[in-house]
Amino acid sequence: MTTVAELESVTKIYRVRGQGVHHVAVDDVSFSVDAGETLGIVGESGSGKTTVARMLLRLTRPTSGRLTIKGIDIWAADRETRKQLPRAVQVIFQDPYASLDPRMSVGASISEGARRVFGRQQATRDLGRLLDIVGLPQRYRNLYPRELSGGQRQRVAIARALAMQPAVLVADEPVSALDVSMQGQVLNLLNDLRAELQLTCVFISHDLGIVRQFCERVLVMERGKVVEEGLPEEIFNSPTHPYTKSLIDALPRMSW
Amino acid sequence: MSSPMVVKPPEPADAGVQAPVPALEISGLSIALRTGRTEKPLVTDVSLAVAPGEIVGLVGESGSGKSLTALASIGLLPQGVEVSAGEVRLDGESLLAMDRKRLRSLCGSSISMIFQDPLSSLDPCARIGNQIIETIRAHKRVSVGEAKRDAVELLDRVGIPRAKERMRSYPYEFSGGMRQRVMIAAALVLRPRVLLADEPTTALDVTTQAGIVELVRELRSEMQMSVIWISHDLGLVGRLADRVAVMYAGEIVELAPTADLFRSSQHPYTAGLIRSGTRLSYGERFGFVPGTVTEPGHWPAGCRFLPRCDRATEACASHPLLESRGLATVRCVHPLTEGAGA
Repeated sequence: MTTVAELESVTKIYRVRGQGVHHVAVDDVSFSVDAGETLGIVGESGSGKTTVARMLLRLTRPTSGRLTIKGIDIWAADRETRKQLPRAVQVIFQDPYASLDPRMSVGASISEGARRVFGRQQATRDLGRLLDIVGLPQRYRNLYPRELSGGQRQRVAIARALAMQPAVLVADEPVSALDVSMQGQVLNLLNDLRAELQLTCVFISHDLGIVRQFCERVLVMERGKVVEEGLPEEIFNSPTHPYTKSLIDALPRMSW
Repeated sequence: MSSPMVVKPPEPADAGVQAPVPALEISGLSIALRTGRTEKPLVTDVSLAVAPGEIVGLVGESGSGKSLTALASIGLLPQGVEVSAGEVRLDGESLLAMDRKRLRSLCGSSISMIFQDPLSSLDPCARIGNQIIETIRAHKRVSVGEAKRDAVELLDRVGIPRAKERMRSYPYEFSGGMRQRVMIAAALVLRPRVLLADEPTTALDVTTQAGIVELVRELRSEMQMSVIWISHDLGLVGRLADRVAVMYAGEIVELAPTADLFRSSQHPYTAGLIRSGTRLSYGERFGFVPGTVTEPGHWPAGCRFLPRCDRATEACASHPLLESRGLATVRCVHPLTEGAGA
């Protein structure tokens, strides 16, 4: 297995302005993701899981440590070197109502980034195929986000991310803003695409139940630290850390 | 995950012998959006009675009308949205016919509501202690000192550490979970008979959620409070409610004691919701309800779930009635227990 993404002792400290206080959002986190693998990161708000995602996306600079994608240190490498990975990491955010430009048609949203990287012709060629693979009818390319349901918007966000042919796809709570009855549709789609396109994914969620069903490996984060790591089924059936146990206990039950 | 949860029915609710007067009774409630001369139905013919000390879950996806049902009950419908038929009674007294002054005096003291977003319900410029004291003094002739004692006691009760000191804090100094606890304290400080809770834990972490659910269960047994708990999350409601009403496209499609609803759901939509929320092992397909919910104004004349239903036949072209089947009432001509002699 080749490693696609790797974090080595990554720490992120925020300084709280005026108070001289430091907030350690991510504390000495190390992990790697292999090609074609889906890694789940589970934790509650404040656990640092989104900060990890933001550092992978080059949106937040780590205070210390190394983040590499395909062996390139994404924070230390110069612009020229990074150009080898112009589209290294793509993301699907939680809220499809906030992550799409309301004034941009579905087609334009999906191919916006791809046009710059692959050129207009290829981006337009790819658009039809992308709509197909996320299960949206071709005529949707002319619609605007407000005309779409939450689940359909999330499909657009997925198509937009895939258009860039990313090395790593980060999904940050991709279904928690959707109705329960719709979540399965989007998760099954992601699951199919992952297998079909051999995607490498980082799947972030507060719901250990979803992660267990979706991810091959899971990290549990609490207050910036990785407190447990392993196979979802093992962690689920015999959690070793009390925090993991409380996450499992808090899961809604459907069986009676 | 597999151990079945024990649901203790509340004493008043299972006393079918004496048929208690419901604390809150919604009967035949219809709500419509009025634009000019046209009326678009949003909620139709909802009936739900909550016994003293009972927790009823109201479940459905966004747009099903569950929040409107609660808002109508305390006269907080948004502009242009009106009750077009039906009645809501609090201890036998009509809430809809009541004048604003009387309703104001009951809101908070007899019936109270908690909303999803605690930040927008708290005044950002006022200390939380003062906000609660203000609520108490608007309803009861008590001194500031007494009101303060009550407020501290309840903040302590809902799990705010160092409650006395925190009375002086502003909302921004609290985390989301703590703010929601403050809201719950403010809603409960007058010991209302009925609590309407509209997705109060949706924005919170799962472990915080579990804590609040536990708290509401305790308070209901302690104060004999009746609760309508609104959520899109059937799993959460299952941990809390004695009975569950499932709403779809503006109407109740199934109403049953919680354990029965999970063990043998009868409406195909309820079954779909349960499938959607059930987590399985790695690699298995996620359950879902196919299609999307039909928006108000576009509901089919017959069964409103028909476009998404795999059991539909010609018989579904006429609008099904809510019929009682066993301990449940179901709005479906082909319930899942069909032929089981329910």
